[in-house]
Amino acid sequence: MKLSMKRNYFLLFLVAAMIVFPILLLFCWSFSAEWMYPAIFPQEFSGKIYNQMINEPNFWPAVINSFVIAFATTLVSMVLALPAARYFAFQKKLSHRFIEIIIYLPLILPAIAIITSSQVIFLQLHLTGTFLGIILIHTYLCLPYVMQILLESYRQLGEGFSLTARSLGAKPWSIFWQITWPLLRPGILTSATFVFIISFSQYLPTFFIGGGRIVTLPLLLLPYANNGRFGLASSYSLVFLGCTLVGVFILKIVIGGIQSGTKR
Amino acid sequence: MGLSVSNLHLQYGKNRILKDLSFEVGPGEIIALFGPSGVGKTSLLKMIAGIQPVNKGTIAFTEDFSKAGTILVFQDFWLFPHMNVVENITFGLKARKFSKKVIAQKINKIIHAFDLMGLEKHFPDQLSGGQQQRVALARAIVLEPKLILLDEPFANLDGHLKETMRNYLRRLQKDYRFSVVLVTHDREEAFQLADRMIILFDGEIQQIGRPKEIYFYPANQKVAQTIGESNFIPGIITNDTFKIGNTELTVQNPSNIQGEALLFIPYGAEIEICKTGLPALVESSEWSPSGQRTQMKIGETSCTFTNVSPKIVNEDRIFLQFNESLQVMPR
Repeated sequence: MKLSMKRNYFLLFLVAAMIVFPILLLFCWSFSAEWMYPAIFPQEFSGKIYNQMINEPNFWPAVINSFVIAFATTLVSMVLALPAARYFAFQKKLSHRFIEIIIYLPLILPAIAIITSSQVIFLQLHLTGTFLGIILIHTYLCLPYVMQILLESYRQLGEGFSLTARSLGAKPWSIFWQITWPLLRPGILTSATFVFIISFSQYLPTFFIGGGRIVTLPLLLLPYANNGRFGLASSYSLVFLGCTLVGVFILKIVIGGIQSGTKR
Repeated sequence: MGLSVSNLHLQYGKNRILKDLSFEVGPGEIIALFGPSGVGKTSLLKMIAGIQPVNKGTIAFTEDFSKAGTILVFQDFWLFPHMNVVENITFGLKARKFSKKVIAQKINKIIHAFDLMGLEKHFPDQLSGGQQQRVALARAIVLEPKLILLDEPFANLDGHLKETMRNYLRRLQKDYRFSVVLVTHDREEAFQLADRMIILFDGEIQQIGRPKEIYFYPANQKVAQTIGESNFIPGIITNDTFKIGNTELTVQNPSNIQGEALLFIPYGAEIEICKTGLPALVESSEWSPSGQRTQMKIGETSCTFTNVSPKIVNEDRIFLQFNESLQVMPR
């Protein structure tokens, strides 16, 4: 075997280990009935922890809430970002560039400052403790990521295809569905999965704006992790991971399932 | 007239790109918009096609010309990469809500007319440059437009293919009877294809005329230099008599210049060697595919000609007679 190939395999193994090892550890924690020092592996395995997790009254509402909020945030973010990115992608004026920077503010400012100040406004608007409130704050925090990806996608795509379609007599809506959407699909899919994952894993904004009335998976997971109940924290983490994968898979089907990229 | 552009202006911020453009395009006519890159030729096409707003001026369609019947084909073709050849060509037909039966008939005809048989299911990245060009043209012509706007259509093709595609366009234009506004900075292309040329630079139309007219009688020195292939010989003009040393020539003097002036002689001027006429000293004479390239000294000026009899020998002192009357320009 050549040296370079050996090196490649080694690197591949290293990367795989870095991904698999923490997940294995989560499995061990969540299925262990007894795991005491100095044992390397759990001394006894059982599904007790999972039983406890599923029987918790907040478990299923948390899973459903997480999905609803993350999908709604993805939808709202995409609906806002797609036309906005299209507009800003081809603007050269300084004033437009300035507005573009304002969209990136949530990335620059500390999250806690944004969340606490938003909470005051949301209280006045009676949005705290509502799904709408949580979806809005998640959208606000996710928009910079979506915009960044979509702006670059639009810039790379250029205006040539849509101008050609227009010259051939297509109407704006049909240009969007037949030309822009399929050609921008990789960027749309990336940004949508990004939003879904970010929204799914939000703790602070959900906690502050939800006011404890709307429970999501991170809200259940974090206290266990903080209090050293690693078994439950691990089982929740694995459920969290599974749910995220399911969400991303659904988005892939919805966005990229009908046609994927070029037809070949 | 089919298309009439009058007093058109284009401004980006303080930068004035096009100033007071007026011209007309008749049915079945090929117009070449010729000028250096970056003078706003593409913007002009976009405005005619209705995909860029007009700052000031009017673009009017008369007779059976219309905005809907005007199609712009861009330099980079912009074939939709996720659609195959047939899907690309039918895109405009579907957008215009033609029935499936009509679309099938039109596709069948156009695929044959454009020699695209066997490529129907191919995607753009599987096609050669020439095939992509043909699909882009087919996609426009299948809509049976009255006016096609071509933005540097053959710029991305190599020499041989360019020639083939130009002939192809000529043939199609005769078959389908559409007018063409062709943007180009390729002189050969403009001369070969155009019925009329519009010379555009500094944001203004410098001259509109038939290719031969522009070649032999450019409106000013800038036009002559843009076309290239120009000799300028200094002398003195009195009415229509131009004097170089002791020789006098009868010339065209459209701007009625008096005193010091330049005599314009294009490289391709038809020249006969005679016993009398304008004296010249042959410096060199070499064969080239476009004709015998002869370097001569007329007065103190070194000139190049490509349409002289090849029988002359270096260091020969000869006398030149011009078959077409020459033109003077201000110095």
